[in-house]
Formats: sequence, structure tokens, C-alpha cells
Amino acid sequence: MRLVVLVSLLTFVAAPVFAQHAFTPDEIAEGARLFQTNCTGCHGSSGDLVQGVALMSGKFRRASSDDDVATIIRKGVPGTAMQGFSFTEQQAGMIVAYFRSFTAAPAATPADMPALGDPARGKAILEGKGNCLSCHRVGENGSRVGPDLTGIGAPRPPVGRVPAPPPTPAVIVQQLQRSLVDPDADISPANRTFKAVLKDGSTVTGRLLNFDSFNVQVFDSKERLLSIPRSDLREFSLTKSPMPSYRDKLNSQELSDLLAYLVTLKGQVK
Amino acid sequence: MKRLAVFLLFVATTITAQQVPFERILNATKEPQNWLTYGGTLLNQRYSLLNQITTENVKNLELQWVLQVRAMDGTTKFEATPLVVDGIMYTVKPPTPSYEVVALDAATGRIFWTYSYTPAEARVCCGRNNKGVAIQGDRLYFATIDSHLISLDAKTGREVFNVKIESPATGLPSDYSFTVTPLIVRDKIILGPAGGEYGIRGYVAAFDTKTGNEKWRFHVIPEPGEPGNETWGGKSWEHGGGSIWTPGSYDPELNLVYWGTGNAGPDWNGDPRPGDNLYTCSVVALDADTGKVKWHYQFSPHDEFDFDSTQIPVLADIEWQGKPRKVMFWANRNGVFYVLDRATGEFLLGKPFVKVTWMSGFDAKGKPIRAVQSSTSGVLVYPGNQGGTNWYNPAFNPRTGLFYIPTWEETSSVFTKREQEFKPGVNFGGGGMTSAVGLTPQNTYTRTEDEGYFGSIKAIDPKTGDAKWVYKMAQVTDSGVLTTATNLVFAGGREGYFFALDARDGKLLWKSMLGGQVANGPITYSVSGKQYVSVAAGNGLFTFALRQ
Repeated sequence: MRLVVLVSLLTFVAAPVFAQHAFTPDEIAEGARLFQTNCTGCHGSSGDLVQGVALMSGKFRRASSDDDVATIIRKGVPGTAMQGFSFTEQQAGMIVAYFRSFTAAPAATPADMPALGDPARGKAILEGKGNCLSCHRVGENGSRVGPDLTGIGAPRPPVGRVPAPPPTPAVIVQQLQRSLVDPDADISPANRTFKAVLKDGSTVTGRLLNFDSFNVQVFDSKERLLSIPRSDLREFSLTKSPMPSYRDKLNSQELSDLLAYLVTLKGQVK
Repeated sequence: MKRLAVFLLFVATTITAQQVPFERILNATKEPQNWLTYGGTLLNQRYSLLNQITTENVKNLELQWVLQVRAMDGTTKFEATPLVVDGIMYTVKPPTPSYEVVALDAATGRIFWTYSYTPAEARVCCGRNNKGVAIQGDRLYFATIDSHLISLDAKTGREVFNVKIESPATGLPSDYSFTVTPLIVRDKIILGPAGGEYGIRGYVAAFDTKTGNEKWRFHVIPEPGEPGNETWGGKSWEHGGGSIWTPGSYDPELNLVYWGTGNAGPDWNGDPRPGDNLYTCSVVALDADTGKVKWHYQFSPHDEFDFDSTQIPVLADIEWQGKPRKVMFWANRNGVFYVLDRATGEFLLGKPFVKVTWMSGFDAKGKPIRAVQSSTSGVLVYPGNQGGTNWYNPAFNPRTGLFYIPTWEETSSVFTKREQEFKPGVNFGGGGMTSAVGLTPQNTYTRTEDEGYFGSIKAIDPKTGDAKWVYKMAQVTDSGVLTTATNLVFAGGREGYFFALDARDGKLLWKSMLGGQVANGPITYSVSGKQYVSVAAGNGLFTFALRQ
């Protein structure tokens, strides 16, 4: 048996408005890739390793416009360690757009942002009809088996090897909506469900917490922290999320109410 | 398939477990496979009923796994005593710079989850230490050097609450630091702050286990109007010290918690604080519900030698002069072993367990007769500033009837006092001292007359205070002691050896060189029928079991 650990590929989220040029998310992702490949040796992956220079802060000592920054990237700064790089104008612009994505103002509500209903009704659905607390936890209520929802509405930087700006509120709503209607579409690595079949035929399902060559550590569906010797396993594999799709379980009003409640959960629920 | 059967048995037994109501902690002796509090039970005897490892087979112990800590600064030590609950170990790594609380598989050392907290700057005299987490229900509790009390979900490591503990002003909020393992009594988390060298006003406080809200506070230094304030001249009580940095014990029948308190401030000059300086260098018995003091005994009145009484109160029910009695054993930093009645505080016995020159005996009420005073020209005192023992836990074995003390023998200091007014941010020592051996292993001889010092594990008969046996080490020790029903004593020392002794005669049965000083108390537990022994040394937690 062999565990395959997937390295999550960074998916860049929409960052719709930029100060001077409009770049698509794909172009910003390409800017990130170019930056990580060419610039981090001196600037660090967070862009703040050179003293007095914080590339992701949106403030540049020697440049007043994005074009100025792009020019510095292509020509360098004479008398300093900053050399010129043979990027095209388009490539340099994408790198600047990547810098700018960290401080870009959140977009106005985009047309495709799902409508938000009534948070109080959403809370009632979460605790009642939706049966969400049978797997999830909000504050001190509910189960620990599924992902904790206590801070689910708070923006968190995407997981990945390249720094990326936190998602906008619209993106959070879109992600939550997708998780509700298509739970298997986008699961963070820590929240994936594994199924262990032991040699006596019994099964354990849960989240994989840790593993080595001889054991796997699982938080199982009965809220147990288990360490299972691999020699006792017949099979250990990824399985579908136990979360049902709510596409048909809740009507659109109920879904928008539930979304409205979820975005209020910022980690402070007691 | 035998192994599978064992595993499934383990699974079956843990389905409803991992819930630790206070009743389980009260009855911890009924589940010797677990280690539920700092000292094993609320009595803090550090005595285990597990019997797989014996005097005959202890020589077959071998390493099972190691938990590593990132490099610590020069004075910080890995002091935490781990807890083990139904196969899961919880412990806390010292802040380097972040604390890491971990839940791990006690059989393999593999980590389930890690919680990280980076403290703000704190003034600490003697290391960024932490003595461990406490558990109750589904929650863990620990306190930090920047005065935060943090509760975690024991199953997931998620933070449940994180509250700032407020302290009386000294001028610098960072003067108060928490290194102690909290004591949990029903719905209360009880603990107090370190900082005795910085002019703090020490206290023991109780906080709600659900919310972290404060329930009561006992000030170690009474304010005007409170009994005991008359033992402080003028306004000296305001910066009187009385820190807390070792856990307390609890007697459920008496509903009393017992805490040892730190030295008076300034440390080495008693002149600005005429009087006994209550309740420093004392044990206080507090009502667990209200924090009101029921009784106290002061080991070192008007201390001038840094003789903190921050030792673990070890509780035992024994026959004393023909009658059953609830007693408390106490091996004090001042070099004297005590037996007290823990219901009343009555002094039953006091006898030096190392060379002691600061006192010459006791008066009729059990108050020590002081033999030397600090002076501006320097005075030689035994034991030295680090004491005949210190915070490292002793152990009591009801089966052998012996009390085991990690000791510093034949150590002394020259204490010199000088005038000093309290100033925020300035070490409030009131003088200085020189010692042959000091706080860290890097110290070397400063005076040739001290070359005779050594460390030991010393077995005391508590009924007489006499030594039954002594296991000598070339270097001193910062190790706690563990003892078992199979007549074993486990301990270590600065040399880096972890060893097992015969609890009856002190004979060395087994040793292992761990390459760093042992600076916590060993524990023992069992998972799926296999007994383990765990001890921290240097930058690691080492876990042993019998070779199979």
C-alpha cells in the first residue's frame, strides 16, 4: 500500500480590479510563477527579504506607477544588486500585477456573486434541516469529524507554495456555495476523507493527520485520534466526501440564507 | 493476527474514552495506564501501579521513540511533564520562539496535531520554561510567559479560548510570566505567576474552565487590612515577590488546594522588609471554592537566601506515631525535609536532608531558628542559592514507605546584601551571591572549597527524616523522580544519564546516556498492554519500553 500525497496546486482566485492595467487571474498566476522562479533568490518568496523593500506592500520607493515598476524589473537599478531581467513588457506587467494583487481593493459585488439571504434563518437551517452539526462544528457545538466551520467566513490566504492574496468576500461566498452543492469539487488536502480497510475486514474512515512508513494517523468518524500500523491494513485510500450535495436538499432561498450565515462565522463564535 | 487483535482491543477501549471528567482525575489511581496530572494523581506522589517493568527486567529497556524540540536558549529547559490519556500523549514544547502543544500516539511518537502560539516578549529570570499542560473534559489548558491562559480542544488542537491574565502593576507588564502547569479542580483552573526577581506581587488565581473568566484570587502578599500584612515593614509588601512556578496539589475530602510560594523580594536583602514576610517561602492551604486561606506554614521566614518554597506538595495518608494521619511531605529548597498535617498545617517533623547552616533547629511551634543573616561583606551559607533541591519533583512510594529526593549535596553560596530600591525593569535582587554550581550546566568551579559537592537521589524515611540510602552522582541534578509498585525509582541528572534504581536499596539497575541534562520528571504509562517510561533530556523526550 502506498500513500499518494497530493501537492495542492495553487489556484489563483479572481482579483478583478487593478489600479492601472486589467490582468486576468491566469496572467497574475503567470506573474507569480515568473516572480517565484526569478526573483526570490534575493527578495524571498514573500518579497520582503531585501531590507527596506516590501514588494507585496503596494509601495515602491523608486517607482510611482506600475509602468515604473515594470521598467525597473526590465532595466534594473544602477549601482544596486538589482539587475535588469530580459522579460517582455507583458511579462513584467504580469509580475507587477501579482504584486498589486495583495493590496487590490475588493471588487464591488460582481454579477455572479450568489445572493445572500437572512443569516438568522441560515443559522436555523444549519442547526436544523441541514443537519450540518452532525459532522461540522461551530464554536462548541456540533461534531469534530468534518471541517470546523467556526471561522469559515474569514478570509484565509490560499494554501500553496506561492504567496497569494486572501480571497475577496465574493470569492468566499462562491467557494462556500460550491462546497454546498458540489462537496467533492474542491477539498483542501487536510479535509480529504480516507478509508482504511483492516485485515479483518473492518473499516475506518476519517481525515489523515499524519503518516510514516509504518503507521498512519487518522481522526476518524467517531472523533477518535487513531494510529494504525500499516501491517494491519489491507487497503488505505482516498474516498469521496461523506458530505451530501445540498443542491436538491435545500431550495435556492434556503441556500442563500445558509450562505448568509456562514459568511458571518469569523472564528469568534462561543 | 495477534497484533491486529491488540489493535482492535485498543480501538474498542477508546470508542467512548478521551473524555476526562474530573471524576477520572479524582480516581486516577484506578487507571495506572494513564498519566492524568503533572504528578500522576492529585496527590502528586509520582507513583505508578504499573508492574510490567520490574527490578529483574528493567535492564531490557530500549528506546522506542524520541520527540525533538527546536534548539532552546541557554537557560531554557524541556521541563514539561507529558500527560497520557487512553493511548494519546499531550505535551508542550518550550517557546523557541513559539510554544507547540502536541497530541501524539504514545506508542509510536507520531504526531496527530500541533497547536502553535508565539508569545510576546517576557522577562524571565531562568528560562522560557513550561512545566506542561493540564486536561479536563475534552480540553487542555496551559499558561504562557506572556500571561495568556489558553484552552484547546484535546481532539483537534483548536483554540477554545485565549485570555490575558491581568496582574498588579510593577511598571513592566512582562514582569509576570507563567511557567506552571495549571491545577484543575472541577470547574476551576488554578495557577499563579513567576517573576519573584522582578518585584511582582504574587498570587494564586482560579479561572473558569469553560470561559477563562477569573473566579477568585489569593494574594501571596497581603495588602493593608489583610492578616499577614503586619509581617511587612512600610510599603515593602507592594513588591514582595511570592511567585508561583510549580503546580499545586488537591485533597478532595478537605477541599483544599496546596501551593508552595516563592521567595520574598528583594531576594538577598531583608532589611527593607522587616518581619516574617508572609506568605512567601510558605505552603498555603486554600479553600478550592473561594481561595480563602485555611492555614499556612512558613518554611523560611524573612528569607534572604532565595529559598523559594516552589516545590510540589506531596500528599499521603500514613500511620504517624501509631495513628492514621493525612500528611504532606515537603523537601524544601532550604535543605530541610518536612512532614506537616495537611488538615491543620501542624508541624510534625523537620530534618535537614543535606548540609544546612542557615538554621540551627526549630522552636516549640516548628518555626526555624535562624543561625546566619545576610551581610554586606558576604556570608557563607549551606545549602547554596539553588538549594538542597528545587522545583524538580520528588516521589513517594507507599510500598517501600520511602520518599525520594533529587538533591544537591554540599553546595553553598556566599550571599552579599546591598541597598536597593525597587525600579521597574531592574532586577530586584538586593545583593548578589557566588556559587560553586549554578543554574545551568555550563557553570564551573568558582571556589575550590566547593569541589566536594555532588548530586544524589536520596531515599528518606519520612517517619524519622533519616536517609535510608543515597545514590550519588558526580554532577547535580535537575531531574524529577518516578517510582513504581515494582520497587523501581527512575531519575536522571545533568550528566545526561537516565537510570533505574532499586527503590529499596538504591542499587543501579539500568542506565542510558541521553546526551543532555534530564530536566523534567519521568512518567510511565501503558498502551495496549505495553508499559512505557518517558523522560525529557536536552532537546528531546525519550520513551522506553521492554525489548520484545
